[in-house]
Amino acid sequence: MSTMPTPPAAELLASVAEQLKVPLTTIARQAELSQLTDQAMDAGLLQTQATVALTLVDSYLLGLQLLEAQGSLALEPVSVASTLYEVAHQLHGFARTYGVTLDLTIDGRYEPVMAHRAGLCAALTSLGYALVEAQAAQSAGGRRLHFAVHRGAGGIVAGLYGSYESLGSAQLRSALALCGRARQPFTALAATSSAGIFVADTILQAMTTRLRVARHQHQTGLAATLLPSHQLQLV
Amino acid sequence: MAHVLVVEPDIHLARAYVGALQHAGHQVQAAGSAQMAIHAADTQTPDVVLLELQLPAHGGIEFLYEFRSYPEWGAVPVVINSYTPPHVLASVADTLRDELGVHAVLYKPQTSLDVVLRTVAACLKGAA
Amino acid sequence: MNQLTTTAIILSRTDYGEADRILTLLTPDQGKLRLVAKGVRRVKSKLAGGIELFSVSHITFIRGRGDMGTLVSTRLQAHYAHIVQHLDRTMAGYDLIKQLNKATEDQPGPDYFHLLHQTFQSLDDVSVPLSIIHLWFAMQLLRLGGHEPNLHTDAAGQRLDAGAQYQFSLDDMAFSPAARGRFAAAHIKFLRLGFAGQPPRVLAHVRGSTALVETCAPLVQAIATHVA
Repeated sequence: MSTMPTPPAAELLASVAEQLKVPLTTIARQAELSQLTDQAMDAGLLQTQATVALTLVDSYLLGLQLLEAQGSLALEPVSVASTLYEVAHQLHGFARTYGVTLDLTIDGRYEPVMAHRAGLCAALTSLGYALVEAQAAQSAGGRRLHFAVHRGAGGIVAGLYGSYESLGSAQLRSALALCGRARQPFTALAATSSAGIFVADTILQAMTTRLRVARHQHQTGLAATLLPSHQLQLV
Repeated sequence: MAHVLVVEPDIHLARAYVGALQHAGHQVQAAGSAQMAIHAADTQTPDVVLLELQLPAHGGIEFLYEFRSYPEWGAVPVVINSYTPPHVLASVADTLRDELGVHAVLYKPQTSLDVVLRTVAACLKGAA
Repeated sequence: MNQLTTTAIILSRTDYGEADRILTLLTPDQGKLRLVAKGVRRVKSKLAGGIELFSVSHITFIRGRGDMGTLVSTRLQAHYAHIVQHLDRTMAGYDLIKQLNKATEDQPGPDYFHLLHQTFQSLDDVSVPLSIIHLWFAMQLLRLGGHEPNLHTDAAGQRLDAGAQYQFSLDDMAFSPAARGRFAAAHIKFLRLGFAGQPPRVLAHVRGSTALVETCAPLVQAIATHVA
């Protein structure tokens, strides 16, 4: 095993490639099943999976751009609430095919955060794909995921929460460090979900934030802390 | 007709494999994790196991060692059908075959349902 | 009832009766233990946490009349989670546990416990190549079994020469000078490090360790086969 660090772009590509295997394999096997059993394909499922694959490809391309621009990325005031609405809407159909319900909670009003809008959207979407798959695979804990915003010590925290066994900060740190070097870096989740989390984290890093394990209303999940725009103006 | 245990964490893929195996005349149970797979096998001993290695919590290899430690499951054929790339599986192929009784190793993204069905049939024939 | 406590590493698990399992454990002070874990075969307990492989646990047990005791409780002390994140390291872990189990059929001393513990630590460190861990482990088994080769003088009793080439004599368990011998000073120093019990990460930092492993591994395997 090589001990040389892998370039971030190569790790990003490897993670996206891992994550892409799921929707593409699903489409192939569903099409085959339809031919085998002479039954109509589930067109809704195929469309959803194809959309996932295309979104992942776009996330990779955006991630590359952000990695290249890291340090000189132009951030702008972004409404976290509207971003979460958009992401939840995009994920809704996908989650439904996995039998997972997505809730969205935005208590109160939040000032805009300094972020790259498309990047934030892509990161939260990639996170959503990963955690929906992971939630559906769990034997216990129900089938509900919860997008939420709340105010934290470092800024505004936007995340996705559910009931995940063995999801801890140490495991997340170790998984992100091993991504691209371990076949299943995050053993709490299936390997393809780990890849999705890595994609989300890579994009967020370009915005000088990262995913971390967080708790919200008795649920555990992954979240990013974003700096409100008025704080930056004071610096 | 045989009883097949499908160990697959993605519910859509699981449905595809279950659908194909049922269409081929088998009785099928699906489990999304190693723990659920042990529970399912405990409920009804399978005639063959179709196994993804990259499972949440406990991996497929841990499942295999646990599964084989029970004498009543020692001879149940196992077919690996995994996202793990072929070159990684090749490096451990001998141990998988000789120590863990793995009859076949399939690379999931490039293995059709037809090949899965034929491989399962071959295992059942060999075991009979 | 006299309850005893110790740290333990699980070597194997097997069925026992309808509801129980027998665990074979390696400890630093009680040698190898065979303990019945009662009731763990009830459906939901299988593959549950508690005593996991690639872990060191703190256990409480009761000695039985024969060679079998009863496990009372366990508490996980250290779990080497990175091992199961790599397929090849997982398989290597199972293989090395099996080798050690076989090598310790008689009551093993604490050195074997520490060997297995250090093996887990090395497997858990993904920067240490597996080839080095395998070679190092084989060297430790030879050392603990009293089969360490002579790495200081040749078969004729002469001090080994840093500029010479050598071949190895299995009968003498020592090197002999040979103009076209495969082994030179670098190989012998590498073997000395390993047989001195230096951990795998030290061997991994030796310059040219990959090539050294390629040459030394077959030698160590040949010695192991010869003394078996």
